[in-house]
Amino acid sequence: MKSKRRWKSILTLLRRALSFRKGTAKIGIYGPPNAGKTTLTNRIIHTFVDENEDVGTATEVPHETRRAVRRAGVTIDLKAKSLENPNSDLNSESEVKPKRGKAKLKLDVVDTPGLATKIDFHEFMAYGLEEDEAKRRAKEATEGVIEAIKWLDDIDGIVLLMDSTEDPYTQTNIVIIGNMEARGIPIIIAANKVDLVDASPQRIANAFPQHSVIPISALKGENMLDLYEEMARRFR
Amino acid sequence: MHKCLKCGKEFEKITEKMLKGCPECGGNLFLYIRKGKEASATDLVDQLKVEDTVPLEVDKIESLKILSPGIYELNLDALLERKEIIMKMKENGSYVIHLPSLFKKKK
Repeated sequence: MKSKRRWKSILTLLRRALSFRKGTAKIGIYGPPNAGKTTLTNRIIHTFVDENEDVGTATEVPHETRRAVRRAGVTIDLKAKSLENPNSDLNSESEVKPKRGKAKLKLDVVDTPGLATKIDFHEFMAYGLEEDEAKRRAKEATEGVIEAIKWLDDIDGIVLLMDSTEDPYTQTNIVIIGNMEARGIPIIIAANKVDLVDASPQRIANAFPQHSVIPISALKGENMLDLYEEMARRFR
Repeated sequence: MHKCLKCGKEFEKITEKMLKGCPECGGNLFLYIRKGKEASATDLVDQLKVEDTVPLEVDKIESLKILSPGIYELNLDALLERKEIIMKMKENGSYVIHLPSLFKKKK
């Protein structure tokens, strides 16, 4: 199994070396339910494509996204964006000092359903859903997890989103990171929800020291420039 | 022979008093020693014989377990490693292999 993994990893690296730069990178936004994947994807689309376009609806109910949604043809052009809005930090609602970036990256963004090891319809009933509806949603969410994992075969890089207020040592995070490392797929970890008082992005950085961890708030738009620059650097 | 692990006092038999702790020091951990000689950790290790190979735990093959309608358990490792999706239905030992996932052509 290990040698198979190694071959897969070498093949992926070769494929990327030969073709990555000429085309568009397919970037998957992965993470556990409620980490903010749809909010981040919407933020990217609003910033670089159309501020009125949403790929999905972000709610507090887990597994709101149950099908992977691909938005093709997004160009992250930080130079153009900073010229267009010289005084803004790319839609940030925070008082962050404006920065200027120059990075450019063409990509397809894939917003994926939240990865989980157990899906129980009772979880949805706690949000007021009827039993039948909750069971239907649980089934769709399970299909969604499988779909999200199958998408990995076709992805060039992932942004693994984690909730900074939660413990990062989860089976889901560890399995995904281990598998991506074995496949040779580049990962950026985005420590989301840093706008919340109990957020601890440092805990995530300590847990996965071998990876870039960018603290962000996809909701408030904090530190997005750092994330975009890291994406352009790693996924180009 | 029973030996108190706290004070080292040895007792031939367990008495009712000892159930509440060592009558000497009150310690409540005792080591049973076979008659003849005091067992040391080294002796015990030497006495161990590996006669049978320990069977390895068989990897869980199922990628998805349906515990009951609406409750699912996903094995992310199996989903990431295997091409095919194997479902385990409840705990009765029946498995379903999702054939389209097995025969799907690689892009």
